[in-house]
Amino acid sequence: MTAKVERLAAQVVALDEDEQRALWECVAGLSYHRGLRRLSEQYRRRMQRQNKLGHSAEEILDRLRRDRGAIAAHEYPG
Amino acid sequence: MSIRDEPVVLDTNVWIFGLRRHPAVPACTALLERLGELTVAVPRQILRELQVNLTEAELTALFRLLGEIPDHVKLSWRKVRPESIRKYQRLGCRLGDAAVAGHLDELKVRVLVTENRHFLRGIRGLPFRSLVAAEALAELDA
Repeated sequence: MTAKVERLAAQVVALDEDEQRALWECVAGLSYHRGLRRLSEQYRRRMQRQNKLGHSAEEILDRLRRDRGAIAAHEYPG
Repeated sequence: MSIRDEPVVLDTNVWIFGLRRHPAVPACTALLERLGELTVAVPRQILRELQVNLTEAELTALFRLLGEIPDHVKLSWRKVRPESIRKYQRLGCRLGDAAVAGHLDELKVRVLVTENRHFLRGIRGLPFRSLVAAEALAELDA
């Protein structure tokens, strides 16, 4: 594992500055996508447990509309 | 001007539909997957709504995730000024919608992406436009 990582690190430092920047952006993008998928699965599992996963888009919008009003009334009373 | 070149706010429904991978609005998931191509502002009202709808662990995971693309996402916990809220209430917005509109105004964001087709539509004099996620994707691909 260490030898493999060292080999990869040597390849990275051999890249020019622009290529290194592009590589790090690519790594960040891949990490973001993997994290998004994981979070989405976590959230969907909870919705499934709470029997909410099948809610229609309109039901969800209604709920969010109510949340918006309640939060704003709390944050900006009067 | 395209959303590639200007900051946007994603309404809470875009975040929630996107995380749920709701089959009725697949564009929300696709848009979250392409966040790295956008500059997204997340104002307090949206953050508070996400707090209500996500567990602490989910919210922590979301913030950690957004931290992976710090050049593309800016969180703002600042409250809206009362005069901004009054301005949008005078235009006909309900309190919550006025808070969101006030955030966009104060953050100088000119695009709101929302799946609520009624939200702010029909209200004249808004300094920003609203798009559904599919329209936002179309702008990204144009």
